[in-house]
Amino acid sequence: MTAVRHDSIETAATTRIEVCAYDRLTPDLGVAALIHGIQVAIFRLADGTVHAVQNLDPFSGASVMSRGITGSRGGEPTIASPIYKQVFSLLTGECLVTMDKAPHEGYAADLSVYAVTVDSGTVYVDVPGPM
Amino acid sequence: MFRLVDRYLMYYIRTADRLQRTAPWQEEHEGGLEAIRAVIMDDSLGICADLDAHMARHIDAYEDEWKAVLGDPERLKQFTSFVNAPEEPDPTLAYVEQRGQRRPANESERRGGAVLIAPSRLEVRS
Repeated sequence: MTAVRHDSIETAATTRIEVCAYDRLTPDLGVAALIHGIQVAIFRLADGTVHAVQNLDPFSGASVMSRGITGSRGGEPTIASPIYKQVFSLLTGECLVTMDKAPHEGYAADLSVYAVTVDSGTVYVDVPGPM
Repeated sequence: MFRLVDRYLMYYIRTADRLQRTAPWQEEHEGGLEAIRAVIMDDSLGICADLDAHMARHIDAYEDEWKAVLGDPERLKQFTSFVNAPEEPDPTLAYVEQRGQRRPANESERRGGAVLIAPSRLEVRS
């Protein structure tokens, strides 16, 4: 399974955390995971790839991205916020559609992306920082 | 009376456009409400038995989807806060009590810290 890498994460020290069994994920649906106090939204897409972004929706301030709607824009897999429908890239976390709204005070519009590894039917997520 | 309502609903479901509500459907129906009345009361199209059978089939097969999920541990798993910590409540959900009821805390109440955290499982009344 492809691991999704983000430049800012590749250079930082990360810790690989076991999250759940790959079979626990439903295609095109998300789940939330709590990893060292960070909420991560994990999506298994119809093509079998797994992607992870921050669960916090920067435009509503609610931790709900795992309940968002998966889709694609020109071949790039996306996730849409279930609240105000902003669209984000699942590859880079970039906010592609702001719906003419600004993010909640103190939040960046783009989502953090976490590298995902699927090994022997288990899903792992790399989070910044040592154990 | 119920049979007429059933026939009306089934006829509506069969012929209305997607997301079209009943009032525009009645208006746009050829012959309007009178024609619909003729279909479900006088059987002008000869489909009343069919409509009745359709409703009977629906009632026979009806299942409360929410109740079905509560009885199915596999599907109930989709409603936990965290896949790797099913018993852990979402720490970002905060509530305050107002007039004996819980409501979500607003920004300043969150900053003040005087909030209740949601339990990991919401109470289910059967």
